Amino acid sequence: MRWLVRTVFYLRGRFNLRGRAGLYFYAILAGAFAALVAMCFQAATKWILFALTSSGAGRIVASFAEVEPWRRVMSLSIGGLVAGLILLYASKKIRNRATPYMEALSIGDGYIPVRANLLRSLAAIVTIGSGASIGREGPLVQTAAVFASAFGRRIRMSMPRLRLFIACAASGALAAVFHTPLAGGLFVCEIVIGVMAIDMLAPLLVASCASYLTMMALVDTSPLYEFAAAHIDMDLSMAAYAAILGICASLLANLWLILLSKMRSALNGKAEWLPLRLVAAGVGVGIISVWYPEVVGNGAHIIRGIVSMNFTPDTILLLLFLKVFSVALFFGMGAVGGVLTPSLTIGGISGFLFAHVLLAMGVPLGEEEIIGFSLLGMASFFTTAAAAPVTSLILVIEFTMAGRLIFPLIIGVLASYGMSKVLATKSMYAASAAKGIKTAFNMPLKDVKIGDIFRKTSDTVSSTTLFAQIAKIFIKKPEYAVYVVSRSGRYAGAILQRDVLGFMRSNVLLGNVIADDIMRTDIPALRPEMSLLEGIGVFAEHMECESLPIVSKDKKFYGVVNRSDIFMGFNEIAMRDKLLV
Amino acid sequence: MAFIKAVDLKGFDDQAECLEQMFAELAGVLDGDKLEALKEAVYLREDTASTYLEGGLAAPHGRIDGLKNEIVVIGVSKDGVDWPESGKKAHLIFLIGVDRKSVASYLSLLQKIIKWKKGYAGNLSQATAEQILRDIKML
Repeated sequence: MRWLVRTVFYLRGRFNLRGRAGLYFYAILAGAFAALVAMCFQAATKWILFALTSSGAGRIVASFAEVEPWRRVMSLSIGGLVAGLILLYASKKIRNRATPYMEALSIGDGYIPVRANLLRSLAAIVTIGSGASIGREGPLVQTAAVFASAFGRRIRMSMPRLRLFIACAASGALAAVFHTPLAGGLFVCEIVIGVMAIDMLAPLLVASCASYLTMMALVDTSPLYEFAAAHIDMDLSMAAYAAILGICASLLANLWLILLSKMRSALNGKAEWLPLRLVAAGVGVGIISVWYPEVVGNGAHIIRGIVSMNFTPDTILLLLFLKVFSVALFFGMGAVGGVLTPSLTIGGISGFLFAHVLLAMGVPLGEEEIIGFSLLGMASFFTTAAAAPVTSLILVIEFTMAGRLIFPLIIGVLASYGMSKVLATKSMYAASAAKGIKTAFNMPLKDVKIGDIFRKTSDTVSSTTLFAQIAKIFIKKPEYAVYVVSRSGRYAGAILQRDVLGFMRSNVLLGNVIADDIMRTDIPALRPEMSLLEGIGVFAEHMECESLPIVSKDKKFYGVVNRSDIFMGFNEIAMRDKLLV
Repeated sequence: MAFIKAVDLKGFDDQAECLEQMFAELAGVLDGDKLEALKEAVYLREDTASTYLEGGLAAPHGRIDGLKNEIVVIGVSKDGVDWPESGKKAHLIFLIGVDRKSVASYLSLLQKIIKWKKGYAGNLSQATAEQILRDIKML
């Protein structure tokens, strides 16, 4: 029987959820769960839309086009009022502020308060469902991140692992909402975490693929704006036009960012007035929607219209102004929602108009090339708006499947990125990612201490704990070690699984041996004030140790650092340091 | 097993006296410091929790630094030695000394002793020190 116990423990050790393999298991879990959250979120917004408009069209613009003008205004106003009241309640009654997932990932410790954020998600569902001109991606990703944070903390994930788990959920949610598994992972890596490293990207892509597969099993996952025929026949002049469009889109994106910032500071005042402000935004956009229902929603309808060549340049120019105004109005008034799709819409319009300027100049362009320039405008605009060239490029290719556009897209995106660097543009996500409490993940590597990334653990025993109890802990969680701590919290030693594994079937030993008998005192301990590099040095000297205890000078036990966690944290922080040089 | 010896504890029924008798057997085997360290470790362990196992068997032990091989002194008492905390009499006492790092060898040793005791056909209280020593050396 002993060989069986050993085999089971060997296998559990190999597939230890706290090890590298566990990362991928949790990535799949996070991705699949994020897909379900995305589906529920979208179903909820559709239900709100149906409740307010009684239209079964499903899509926001189509529903608004079907109903009477007064109902359009009423839907947006009621949505604004209810969402405003929910947000007001959250700000008055809940002590914890809602932490954006970007903040929790980029600089935070992965803690996202549940109640405050779920109320914000509810407010977002009502706002989006009522037809507000705002994106659904941000709140949807936030909702998936809230659940991931709560689950990760529940199973006591270490800080680096919790952050990665939330990042996986965010990737999964983005993949689910855009049907773009590759761009989902890239978005989180490039924009949120700010580090493009394969160690970081791999679990994110696993999560977004798991999400995409889950969606595929349950709903339609065809590309959102499929137009594979879009292309630009490249020659030197076209390459120059692509670069010029990239620069123009970047300048436009800068104006867009300034407008958003100004609107938020001018319109977003006291919390008490939030319901009234959102009602005002609803009434304003509702009145516009009487004549131009295309202004409601996140702008996906306009993108589909561009890709299908449903709009004339005059209409699209008017829609550009109306869309910019309505999104900025809702955003400025404090609505909960994203500006990702609205940004793509504005970028797409700018590219569409640029193509028509070229046509007017006598440049011969076919329909597929006009759409190609529209997509180029979209990617270039988003590159500057989000400071994310790679994500912009892949996102546009993935949701149109227009692979032939890759070269002009590269030129446009690089021109836009270069322009944003010249202008020192701060992306629309910079503010979310920079505020809040700073943690180890926003410090220079040399300043990060072991105490900043340790994992608190309750898997400790006292020196008189029976072997039976210790064996139970090892069977339940195949950890490398269980730590022996006195009642006053002083560290005494470590019991290594490999020392006791073969003896866990002897009842007499289980009932008579105590922790003190099998505890090791020669396991090195890390100090909380040690630098991350010193900690890695200790791990390097003791290759056999999978985890090490953190013990203060006065022998107080702080917690545990896993080998994989310390290297994961080091990897991320070091990459960020390197990029900042 | 580097050192193993058996001692008859006839005439002693106090735990402390018996342990001293058994430690005396180690005088020429361990140097003074190590013997003191082992004594301290054994008494400390006994204070922490009783080392009485079952069926008249007790295994007081201590783990100290720098012990190259395991040390076992077997105390045999026909009348039994009062073992505090457990409220029982120990007829067979295994005083074990192992290196602080040798967790597995301590558990292995203890397991062998328990297995041997389970399979022991005779009456433990009637066994002589020589018989026990012969048996244990066969393990």
